[in-house]
Amino acid sequence: MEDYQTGEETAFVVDEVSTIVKEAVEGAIGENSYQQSRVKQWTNNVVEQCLSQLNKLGKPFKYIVTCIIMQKNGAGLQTACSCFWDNTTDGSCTVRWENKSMYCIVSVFGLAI
Amino acid sequence: MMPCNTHKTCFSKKRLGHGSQKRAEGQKSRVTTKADSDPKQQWSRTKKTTGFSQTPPNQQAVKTEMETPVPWTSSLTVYPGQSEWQEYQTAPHRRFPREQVHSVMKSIVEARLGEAQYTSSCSAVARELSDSIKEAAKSLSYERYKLISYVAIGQLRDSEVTCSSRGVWCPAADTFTEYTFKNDHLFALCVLFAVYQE
Repeated sequence: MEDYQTGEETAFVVDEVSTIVKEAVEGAIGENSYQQSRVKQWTNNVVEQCLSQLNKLGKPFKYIVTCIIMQKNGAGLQTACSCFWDNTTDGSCTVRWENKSMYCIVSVFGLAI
Repeated sequence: MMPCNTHKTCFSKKRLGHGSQKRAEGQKSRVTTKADSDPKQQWSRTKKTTGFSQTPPNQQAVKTEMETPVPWTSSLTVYPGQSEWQEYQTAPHRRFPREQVHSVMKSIVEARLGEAQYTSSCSAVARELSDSIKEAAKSLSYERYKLISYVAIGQLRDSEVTCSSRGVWCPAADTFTEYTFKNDHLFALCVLFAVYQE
């Protein structure tokens, strides 16, 4: 009889989160071309889908999800993050995705409760 | 102790409080608790649970141990009728100051970027900025706050950029601050998330 949660159930698993993010982005954007009128809805959908799937994992984490969508016009974009947390319990995952007309960068941060 | 197999989200600290109330006096029991590897956190919890200078005369301390130690558990002494979560600090004494951090971010970014142009070295500049903002927020010394500094630097070249972020957290304790900088050649988006360690 298990009286406690094992380490694996309470750890931030990058592969698992990465899969969730990729599925969310594919589902929200897919092969759509960049449209200025829809990009806000796409970013919201990506973020909300990621959060709902992360919550379903049932792990004791607070999550922060950030999504940037940029039109492919030859411009450059650099992102960086710096964290002050507990290395043994907290983690992050960044996924870069693109199609023919836009780039999408999603970052997920998981902070143990 | 009541098993809690069906509730994956039933965190160990809740099971602990429930179990200690039902435990009979004088009996040994197995209780697990989640311990942080952060020594500061461990010290603050230990301080609360060992507040008694001597064992109360009519009560017997219950020693709790794990036979096969799991990395995130620790052994500690729980007195019957007492939960070590009784005085647990679930909300901060001081909430993270958004306005102050905003002005700090503004000064750091404007000093570093100013009239800079977008080059390939902007990746190093972005890392440097995120570190500087994080260190400046740390220096404000707000206890038990975890900080995430996120910086995006992009070239101004007829491209549209949209950024959206959302979190699952405690709105009473956790917060964020953002600042957007723009000159003739580039833009910089800086966001700082502050999440309270419960």
